[in-house]
Amino acid sequence: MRKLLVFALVATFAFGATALVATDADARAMANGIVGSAHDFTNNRDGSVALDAENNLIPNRDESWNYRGEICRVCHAPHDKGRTAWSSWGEEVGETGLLWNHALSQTADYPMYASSSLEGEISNQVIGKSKLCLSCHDGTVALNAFDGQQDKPATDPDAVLIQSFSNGFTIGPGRTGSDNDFLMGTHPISVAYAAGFYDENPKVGRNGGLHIPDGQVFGNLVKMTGAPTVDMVLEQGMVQCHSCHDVHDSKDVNAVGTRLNRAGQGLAENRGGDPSGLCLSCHNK
Amino acid sequence: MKKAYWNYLPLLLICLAFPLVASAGNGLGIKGSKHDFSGEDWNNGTLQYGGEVCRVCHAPHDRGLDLWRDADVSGLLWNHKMSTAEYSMYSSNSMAGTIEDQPIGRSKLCLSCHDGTVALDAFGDGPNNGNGDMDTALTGRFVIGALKDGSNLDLRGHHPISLQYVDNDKIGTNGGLHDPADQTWYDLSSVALSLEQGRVECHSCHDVHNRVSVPNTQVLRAGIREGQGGAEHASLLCLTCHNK
Ligand code: HEC
Ligand code: HEC
Ligand code: HEC
Repeated sequence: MRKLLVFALVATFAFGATALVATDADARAMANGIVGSAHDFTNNRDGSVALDAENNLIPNRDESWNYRGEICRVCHAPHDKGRTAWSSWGEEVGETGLLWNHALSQTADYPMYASSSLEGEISNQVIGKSKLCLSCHDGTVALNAFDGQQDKPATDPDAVLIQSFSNGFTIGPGRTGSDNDFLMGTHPISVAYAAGFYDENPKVGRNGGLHIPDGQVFGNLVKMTGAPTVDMVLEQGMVQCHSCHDVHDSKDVNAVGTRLNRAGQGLAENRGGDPSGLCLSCHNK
Repeated sequence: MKKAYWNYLPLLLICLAFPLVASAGNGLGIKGSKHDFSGEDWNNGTLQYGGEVCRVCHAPHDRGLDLWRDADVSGLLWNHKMSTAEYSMYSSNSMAGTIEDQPIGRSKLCLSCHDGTVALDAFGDGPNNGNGDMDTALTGRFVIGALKDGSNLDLRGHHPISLQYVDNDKIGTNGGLHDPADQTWYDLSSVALSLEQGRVECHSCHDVHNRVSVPNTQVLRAGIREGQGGAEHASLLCLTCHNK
């Protein structure tokens, strides 16, 4: 009996490990927490390496550049960090800078989403927490530019982009080359939903418009009690990158198999089990 | 005891009748409507992004980039392959409003499926994106007028689209047009809101997302028969704009 149990445990572990590597290579959310997720940059630091089927180190997951081997530190550090992160667009966006420890992108001009049917106000530049995602994902800053190592290694944006996202994951097909700051084809961010930085979006509560964010549950997945509702993931009422994506891959917050999405996308296995559940969490369509 | 079952009969009948009702615009949202393709064979789990509702038409990142870039507006995150067809447009000597040479704006999005020249499954990473398979789009499905397999691109028999409404000289004249800012649809939203650049487009009358549309119509924003959506008379849709 005990042997069987041990076997079962080993089998589960082996299976789990394979699943981990496979999902990791695909940069898909596991909703297991940040450890081992796409945003855990400690591979090759402490033995916890991502291996492919032939036991080779997955090249893009060689994270020996993360010289301290910490998870959080690439983005946050506990003392005297991020104080100036948001100073450029006024303190009202956020009093402190989330202890931000990664170099911010200096891109000052992102062409933003514009549309005649957009009723909520949209900032003419990216503001707030979306800037933090873009400090890696716009491809202009090196992945290892944290802890003040601003200039390592290269400053050529394309080279950085390729180095940073050599597993092929970029946000949208346009995020390469000169178009990588072009946000007009990306879901509006820094855009009004609830009242806060801007007035409430006139579409809130309207049929065909937007659901009332307060207490609005993401998708229809059974989640851990306390998984954030829509109002909780807005930043001063605005929709930002993190409103849809949970960068920490927190347990029971993301839909498994999605790109760290807070709700599912499709019924098939590993699609979160909820056709367009993410969109329909907010859009009353 | 046995009699009690009969109490459920009306309920049963309602359940049986419901799918029939639900097949036309029912105002219940896009899920389960004719534009919900999440259950189609060509939109399944073998695709990276299969089985979604919105993605056949919209995707969140870097989509619709170049659609209206000249005009400095975003392309509604459009993810379906566009048609390159040229159409014959409505023309008439009794019209006061100007009409564009070719459809503009959002009507182009509808035509990316409804002119029949682009495959229905030509979206995002769908199998047909890029190969321009012409005929599978609307075969055996609802077609708008005679626009079916791409052989007919004549819009002259269709209500004019890409047609000037705001500042149209007929506004306010008897027998002409009501002011769109004063008129409301079934869901009480303003007619002006359903125009694009002041023009009448497909979506001015139809709500493709089937949320604000009148039950039992073809996703229309107002009733077309008496009683539909509380219409006091027939053709409320037309008479919402036309002062006839
Ligand atoms: C069959 C194609 C199709 C599908 C599927 C579709 N849309 Fe749309 N959508 C359109 C078209 C065409 C327009 C432009 C016409 C209009 O404004 O109604 C549009 C416009 C929009 C707009 C902007 C105008 C407005 O009403 O606010 C939003 C937001 C939107 N869609 C969200 C969604 C969401 C969310 C889903 C999935 C639940 C979805 N759409 C599914 C075709 C589609
Ligand atoms: C969203 C508003 C709107 C709705 C709804 C609408 N129309 Fe129109 N229609 C217009 C406008 C604007 C014109 C252009 C009139 C002009 O410039 O002379 C027009 C033009 C026409 C014309 C062409 C007139 C000509 O001189 O050639 C006909 C016919 C017509 N509509 C019939 C209808 C019918 C029938 C319906 C209902 C099924 C309808 N319309 C619904 C706005 C609308
Ligand atoms: C992705 C392709 C696609 C796009 C884009 C699209 N449609 Fe459709 N539409 C279809 C198909 C396919 C059907 C028929 C479905 C069936 O018969 O099962 C349909 C059905 C309809 C119907 C009949 C609905 C009913 O309940 O009977 C109307 C009206 C319609 N479309 C209008 C529009 C308008 C207006 C737009 C643009 C705002 C649009 N469609 C955009 C594919 C599309």
